[in-house]
Amino acid sequence: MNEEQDLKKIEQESYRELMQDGSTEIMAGLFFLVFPLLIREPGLAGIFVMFYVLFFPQFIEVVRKKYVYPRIGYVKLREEEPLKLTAGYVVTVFLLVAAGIVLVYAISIDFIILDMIYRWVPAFFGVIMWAPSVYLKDKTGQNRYYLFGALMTITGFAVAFTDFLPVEVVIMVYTLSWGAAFFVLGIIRAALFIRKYPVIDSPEDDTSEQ
Amino acid sequence: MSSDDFEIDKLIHEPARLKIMAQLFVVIEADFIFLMRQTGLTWGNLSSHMSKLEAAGYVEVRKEFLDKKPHTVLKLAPKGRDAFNQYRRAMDQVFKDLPD
Repeated sequence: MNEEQDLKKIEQESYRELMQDGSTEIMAGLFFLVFPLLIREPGLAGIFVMFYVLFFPQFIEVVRKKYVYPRIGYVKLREEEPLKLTAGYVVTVFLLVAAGIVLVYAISIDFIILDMIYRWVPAFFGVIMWAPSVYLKDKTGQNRYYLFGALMTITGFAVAFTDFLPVEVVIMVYTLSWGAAFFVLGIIRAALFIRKYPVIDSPEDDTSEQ
Repeated sequence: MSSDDFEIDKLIHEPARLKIMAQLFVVIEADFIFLMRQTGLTWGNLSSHMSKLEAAGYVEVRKEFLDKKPHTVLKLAPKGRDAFNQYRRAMDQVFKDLPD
């Protein structure tokens, strides 16, 4: 018996239960759908950050209390351990900050033109999306979560290499397409979830004292 | 090796209770409906096993009202977590020491 493996499977099963409601896909969809607005109006960035950080977790919990927990039960999953301040972490942050400074300097002296950045943002996005992809694969045990990381990377590079789109349209097409795809997928999953899992009449409802 | 090293916690060793303990070990807390679905136990069975685990101090039970309906949330107590970890170590030892 490999009990560590079994406990991992039980944890993944619990995580999968909560992932069925489609809320993650809907959230990702909304993020990508509003992202082009940030490019058009960078001044809105602060509002969007507040919107996502403050509103979404609470909103999702309210939705789950109303639509998810009465169908599959309530569970609070274990949270990730906070990142430990290791030397590797400090070096990574330092390298990222240094890369950012070099990038801004390179743009300011026209060594890198802004168009080039716009063109490669989708590919960069695609590579970044491997992080949630791998995270969700690990949490759920389902290989299909590799798929969106792979597809977003491939399409990101594909639109970067194609010249038929104006550079400012490339990001719009990429984020809006993926936003719509995620949003529709989320709605479909939510509909299937509601259909598959009717509200359970808890035996507790008949008793005020257990 | 003393016989204490092989002490198997009989309260946890029972299959239904082992399922409940394992499930609660990997999450922070869960309610009866979630546990019923995950363990395949009936309400009565789950309730009965839960009472034993609660009496042993392995599980903490929190009763609350959701939309005016009673709602029971269950959580592995620190004592239960320790007991489960000890059970895992004991079972590992039992299998490790078996001859091929």
